[in-house]
Amino acid sequence: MTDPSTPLPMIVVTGYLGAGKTTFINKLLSSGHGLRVTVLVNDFGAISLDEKLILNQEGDVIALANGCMCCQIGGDLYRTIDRILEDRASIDYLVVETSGVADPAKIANIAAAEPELKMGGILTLIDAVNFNTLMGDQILTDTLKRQISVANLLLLTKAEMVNREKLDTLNISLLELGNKVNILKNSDEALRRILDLDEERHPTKRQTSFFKLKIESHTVPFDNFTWQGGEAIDRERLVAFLSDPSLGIFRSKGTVHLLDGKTIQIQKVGETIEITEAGSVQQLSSIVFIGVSNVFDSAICERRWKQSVLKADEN
Amino acid sequence: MNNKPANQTLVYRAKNIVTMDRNKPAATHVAVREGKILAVGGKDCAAPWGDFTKDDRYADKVLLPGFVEGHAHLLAGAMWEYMYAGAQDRIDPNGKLWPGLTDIVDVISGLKKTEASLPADKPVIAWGFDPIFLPTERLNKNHLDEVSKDRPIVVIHSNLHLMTVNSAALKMAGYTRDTNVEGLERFSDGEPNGELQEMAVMFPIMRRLGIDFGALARTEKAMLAFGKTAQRVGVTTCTDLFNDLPDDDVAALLSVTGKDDYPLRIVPALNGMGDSVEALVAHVKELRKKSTDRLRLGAVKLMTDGSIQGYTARLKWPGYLGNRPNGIWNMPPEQMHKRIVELHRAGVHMHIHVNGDEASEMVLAALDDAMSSHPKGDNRHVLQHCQLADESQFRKMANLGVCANLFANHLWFFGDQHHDLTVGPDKAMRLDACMSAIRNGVALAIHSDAPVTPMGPLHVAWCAANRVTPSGRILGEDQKLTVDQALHAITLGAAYTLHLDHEIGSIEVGKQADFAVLAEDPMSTPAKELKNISVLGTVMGGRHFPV
Repeated sequence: MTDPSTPLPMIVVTGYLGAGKTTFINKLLSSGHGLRVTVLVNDFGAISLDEKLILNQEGDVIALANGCMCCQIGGDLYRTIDRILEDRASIDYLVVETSGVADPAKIANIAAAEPELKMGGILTLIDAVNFNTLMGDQILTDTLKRQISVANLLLLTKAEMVNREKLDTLNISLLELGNKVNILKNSDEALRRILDLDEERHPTKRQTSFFKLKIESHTVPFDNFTWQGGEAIDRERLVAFLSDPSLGIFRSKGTVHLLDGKTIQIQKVGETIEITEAGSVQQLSSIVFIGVSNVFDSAICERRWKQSVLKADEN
Repeated sequence: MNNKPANQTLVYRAKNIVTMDRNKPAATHVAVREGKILAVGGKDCAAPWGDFTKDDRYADKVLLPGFVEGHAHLLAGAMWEYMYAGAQDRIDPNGKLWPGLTDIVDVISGLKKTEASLPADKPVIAWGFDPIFLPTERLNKNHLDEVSKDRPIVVIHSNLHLMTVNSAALKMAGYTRDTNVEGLERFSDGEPNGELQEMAVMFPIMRRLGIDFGALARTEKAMLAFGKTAQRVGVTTCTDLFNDLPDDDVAALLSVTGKDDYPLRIVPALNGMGDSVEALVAHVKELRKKSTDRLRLGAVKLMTDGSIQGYTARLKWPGYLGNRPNGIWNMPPEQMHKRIVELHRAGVHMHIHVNGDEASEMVLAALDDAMSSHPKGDNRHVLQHCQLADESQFRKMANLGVCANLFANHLWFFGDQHHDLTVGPDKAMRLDACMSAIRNGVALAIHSDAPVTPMGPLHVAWCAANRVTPSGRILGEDQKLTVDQALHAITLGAAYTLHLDHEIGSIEVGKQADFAVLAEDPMSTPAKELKNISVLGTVMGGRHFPV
């Protein structure tokens, strides 16, 4: 058994079918980083296909015989990890590619519990083209949400295949679901992050791993403006403000007290604005506006809000 | 006694014979030749077939068809490597009675006894423990430290998802109050209390102590113990529903089941999750060629979701009590759907694990698709467990000819938990809805899923007929089976789900001479006494296996 004082970092790579897990693993094994990586894959018999894709390996690929079954006693995942830990002299990283529906947190918990392993973090891949459709399938919604909410890093794949507006909306949904973790669109960058390739030291001596990194402004170019106040608001001016394309508001959410005495709740996602009457009257309004920073500026938003909406009720 | 089936005709007299054959429900004599049933009826039933010898060994006993356990695992035989710490009395494969340990003091003294019998370097490992049956405070490391402070003590709970360990075991795994892991349970002061929930946090203990159930179940010893476990509860045909079936294991199973003194016909189902469909179908074809009378190969097992008590079953709205998240899929539903269609098209008989109602609904849609696109006769695919299916799903099963093998033992072992903690009263009242299956015309079997609950078809039948929980609740009066229906579900009903109803499951001419030998007649016993009827042995293929 290896000296347990140098625990092996375990990285969990997850994402639904079509998110590009296999392509990513292929890149991980063939991109010349010089690290030795053992990958456990969980692909329900598609391994022959993967072997064709996974060329020029820099590590081992082990297929799990009975799927994930991470909660089952005596499961293949555990037997395989045990075997790897018994003979791991030559490994820098253990990567577990989960099935498309696994709860990656449960698998990551193995690394948290086992003294000879350490958490290397959870990378969740998101298919930019199909994400909204998949989220609309009610037998999948909770599974996908869970994969995003426990992720330490998100990689948006096929981003070049969707238009700017859709991508921005997607970014906002992911930000909300993913507890503001970093969202990357470049798989090379994701690879550098998870393997800590930007640092020069040997991985087992590194103190931090990618899951500890916090949100950084350059990867998530969002800005927001929040307003709270007791002024009653004119409905038409509010809707006009929300719909004004020059403001670049993609997401808005809040409770607003109107001039007509009603209190409404507002939801704006992309082009869709939803207004519903609140159950009780509230004098204090509170609303947030979010946009992508290249088209949205919180200072401009604030100025315009004060000019065109708030001033309106002084007349 | 030479335990080979006689070529002569033997006529067994019994106090009563419950045949499960509607044409002749009761008899007093059964004639056996070449391991098969030649005639059933009175003392002269075999007379038209020439000479016969009378055998009165069962004259004061009751014969039923050998019971068929439609959902169990070879692991049931392997657990006895370790000390039994459950609250109910249990008899091990060798006939030793392990009295139920009904409070913590009993558990501790049992562990102390085991500890004293083991070499100093061995850990103490126990299984079958369930805190739900103990009225006292929850077992924790302080209790186990009384047994030993030095050597690891591990008490595995009956559901196999939890364990309680002592301080020495916690130390071995490096668990301290500073360990930040989900499932490491704590006292109110933050100190780990010894309880470990779910595999991830049990794994460091198990690998350090070499606890490997998968490996244990593959030994010849476990296969022999499995046979004895079955024989003691009247089972002559038993499934092993999820096995990788590599060639070596098939060879071992063929050798063990082929022995004259082996009392059991085993029906394994191949793990259908790992390989591609093409590879699976090829494996199934190879296995079919190796099939023998006592090892029936060719079926496949698929796993869709987890368990209800582990909160991993996939539920439809409103889900679990207490806003818990929904369970997990083991395979992406669209992949599973495709796999079901393709295996059906290839003519493979499928046993499909579905615990939650969202899982059963998904599988029924896949089977509907499979059967519409590739119509085939007499498929009998089986929904295994199928514990939360609603009426509409049973109607659909009937329309598709899909069988239900319901986990009736859950009603007793987990019924209160389901009522109070997991799915709430409405769904608990129709948990394992046996009567819904029958009312809608769905072929029904009931099972133990041993070792998850103890193998024992009379206990399973008792559960289905009484639906009572340890707290005395009745979970759904309208879902109670009659004794006759319950017995059918552990004999002919279960045989039907295995495509074996032409050979076993009832006492009628031409079928295997497989009998369960009982002390009393269940048909004239009150339903609430079913589980108390003594099993005195079995007859399997005309060979006698008294207990």
